[in-house]
Amino acid sequence: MSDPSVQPSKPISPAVAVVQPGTGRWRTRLLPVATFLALLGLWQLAVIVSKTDILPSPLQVGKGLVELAQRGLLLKYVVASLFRVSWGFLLAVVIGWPVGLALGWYSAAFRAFNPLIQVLRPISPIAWIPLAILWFGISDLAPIFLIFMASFFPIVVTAAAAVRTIPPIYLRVAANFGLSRGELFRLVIFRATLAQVVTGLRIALGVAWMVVVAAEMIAVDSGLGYLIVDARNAGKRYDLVVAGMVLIGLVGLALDLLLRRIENLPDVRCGEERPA
Amino acid sequence: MRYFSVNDSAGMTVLRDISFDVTQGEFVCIVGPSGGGKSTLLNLLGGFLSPSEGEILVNRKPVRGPSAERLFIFQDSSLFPWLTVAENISLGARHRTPIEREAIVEDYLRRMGLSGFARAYPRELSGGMRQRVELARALAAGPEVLYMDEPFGALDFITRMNMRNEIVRVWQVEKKTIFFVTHDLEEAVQIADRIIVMGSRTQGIQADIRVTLPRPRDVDSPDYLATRDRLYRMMGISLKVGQPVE
Repeated sequence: MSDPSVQPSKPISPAVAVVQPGTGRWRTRLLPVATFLALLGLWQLAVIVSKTDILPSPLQVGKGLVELAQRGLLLKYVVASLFRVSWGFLLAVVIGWPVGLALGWYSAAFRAFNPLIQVLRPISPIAWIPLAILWFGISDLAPIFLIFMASFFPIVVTAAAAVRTIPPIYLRVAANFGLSRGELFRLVIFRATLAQVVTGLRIALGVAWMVVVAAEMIAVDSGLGYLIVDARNAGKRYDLVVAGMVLIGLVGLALDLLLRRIENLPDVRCGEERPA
Repeated sequence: MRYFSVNDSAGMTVLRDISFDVTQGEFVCIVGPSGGGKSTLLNLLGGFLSPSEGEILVNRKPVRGPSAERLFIFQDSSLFPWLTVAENISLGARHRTPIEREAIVEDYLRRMGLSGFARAYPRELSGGMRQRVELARALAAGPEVLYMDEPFGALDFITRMNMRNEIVRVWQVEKKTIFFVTHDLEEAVQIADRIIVMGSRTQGIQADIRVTLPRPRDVDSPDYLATRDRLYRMMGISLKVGQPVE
């Protein structure tokens, strides 16, 4: 008596289901790459034609990247920034996720702490820099603290909101089946909020990455943020400044893609279609 | 022999002076107009609400709250979307040994025509299939009573007819006591042993009809039509559709 209209299928990827000219995978890759190269070319042309010295050309930036690699700084600075972001972010995840879930579940706790969180959250992490330096000095701890502050609140807020928006029907089913507290948490609360929280983590990581760059500009002497500030101060090397920006963009993208990978795991998606 | 009695009025007096007995294995439909307290009654019987007066007994023991012995099935699927079909079904069997659990899940997958969908997620299934998974999940827990609140209301006509067959078949095999709330009188006559007709708010039970038609119910038979017409008249529904305006 099975239903003939449903196949136990994997979602069909758009490239196969939509049969239109010009939407093959080759084409979808080609368009952004071609656009990018075209803009790069325009940039190069603009610099050459205007003979400007306030904007490096793509070629100069590229040479700057090579120089950084040869001096061993490229890897060193990327690793330094990643190190700080990882520690600050992971600390925020490990502490913030459970705290967020708890706040979402226990309404008294939520009522108690939510106003405080709403007040602290909009304070830009940059505003915490002076206090961070005061408390932790010029060391890795200051940026790590800043990254923690930047990531902690979004994670807590997302987790709490996710718990509070669990459709009550699921809690009723859990009560009906006699789920214990542990089972309720493991099988329902944690799993029901997982997708939302992971998305929140991805966004928080994006913020964290921006913060680390800002933090490094002020508080330490290594890392990509420091690279940008130092390149300018120590010799007006704007080619290295832009090279640093490129690196920041690329690493930030890589981090985002990594979290998207996690978001798209079948256990997290649970049958929801992937965004195109 | 199992039976229970209900005497109840609640809150803004949603229900007043309700009382009836049900024997084990009966298929009871509760019909009535919207807002008449059908769902409230169901929740009371299942233990999700307490009566302000009187008591509800199952097997002569009072009902004190929700329990896996009294499982509900709703209209909009309440399957956990983050669990696969198999994982949902195994919810009721989670206290068994892994081997037993797997056997139970396999069994119900097969019986409800869900073989091959064990690892699908509810999102990937049609409405009818989801209701079947819900049934499987409830049955796998081995409850004493099933409480179904307009479970087929969101399904298309054909699927609904199929599901009626399904629920009667399941009931004949599993021999559970079933309380089935529906606003569809035809549905009630097609599947129930007994139809409790509720009036609107606080009017209480208008009628308690035993349906003795043999199964499978023949929708064309005069006896079926007579029973159905009786219900229609009781609810004040005309048998002529499209009466011209006076």
